[in-house]
Amino acid sequence: MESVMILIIFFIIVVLGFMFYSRIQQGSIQEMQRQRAEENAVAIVQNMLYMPEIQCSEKSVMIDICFDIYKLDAFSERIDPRVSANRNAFLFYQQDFGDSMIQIRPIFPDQKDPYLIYNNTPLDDAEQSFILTSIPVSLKDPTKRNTKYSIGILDVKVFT
Amino acid sequence: MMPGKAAGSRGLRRKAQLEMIGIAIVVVLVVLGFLFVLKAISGPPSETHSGFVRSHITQDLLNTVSISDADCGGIDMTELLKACAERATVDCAPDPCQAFITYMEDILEQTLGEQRLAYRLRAYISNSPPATSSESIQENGNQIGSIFITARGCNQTSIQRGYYSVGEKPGLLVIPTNVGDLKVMLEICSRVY
Repeated sequence: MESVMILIIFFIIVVLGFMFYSRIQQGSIQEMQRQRAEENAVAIVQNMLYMPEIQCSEKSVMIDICFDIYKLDAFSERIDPRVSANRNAFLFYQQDFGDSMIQIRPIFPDQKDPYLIYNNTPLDDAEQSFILTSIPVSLKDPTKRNTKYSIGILDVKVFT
Repeated sequence: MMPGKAAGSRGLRRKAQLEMIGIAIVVVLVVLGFLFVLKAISGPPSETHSGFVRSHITQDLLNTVSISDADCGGIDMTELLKACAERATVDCAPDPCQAFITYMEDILEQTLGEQRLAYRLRAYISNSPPATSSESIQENGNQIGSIFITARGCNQTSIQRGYYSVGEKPGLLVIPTNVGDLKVMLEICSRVY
């Protein structure tokens, strides 16, 4: 009888230990996935900040963290996946931006409608978790002779 | 009952009690061991993303502000700051320092405030940043202007008391003026736990 009780307790401890171990493993895997997603989000932001397609320049010199609003318009139109002719361009940038939504909100001196640059939001958006990165950027209107720059916020929402 | 049998039963009960205490000690030790392993395995949460944002946002924001239109008769924010330090007036703002503060409060709330970050923006000409607004932008010990914005309790008192720390590299903008180099420093405070 004593031996049976010892065996039962031993197995209970083994099962508890296994459950404990699997819970720890699950936690560390989730943490690893979270870290991978964060690295991916940072990479997408970096890609976006230094894209020559939309960066602004002054006398052929690229300006850091600055976007030309006319290039933004043209770029977002060119990779809009709702237009079938843009399919290849959209797929090309999908390799860089993955499942994300990228927009720029002009905030100063005037608040204007955001420029939606890239949108590959998963269909079940409500259930998706995401990492949002917001970085202040300069926006250039090259058609103005003076006061060309305004301030905007680059929002990069990466779905995980 | 025989006296010898009663004594034996008491001895057995005592032995059982000791074994129970032994098991209890073993269980406590096992639980402590599990907790120790759990603490050793689970490291601090990933700070890749927040670290990236905090290390970039202050300098990016100041760089962006420096070239931005000041919505003030065609001048940019750098010229507005220069007018503030040189005590000059601009057409649209009799007090350029106050105009800059008003614009910056709006911009900072829409950028850092939206992310619930505590911050402090200080402007100064001397070598070291001022601790209070009354020490901001001084020339030969006389105050010539004041640009000093704090939000969410990110101030000298809370830093000295240890509620906040300013660990990240602050953003710094240097503007040459007639009265010396005007420096604008933007810091993000982190709560100390």
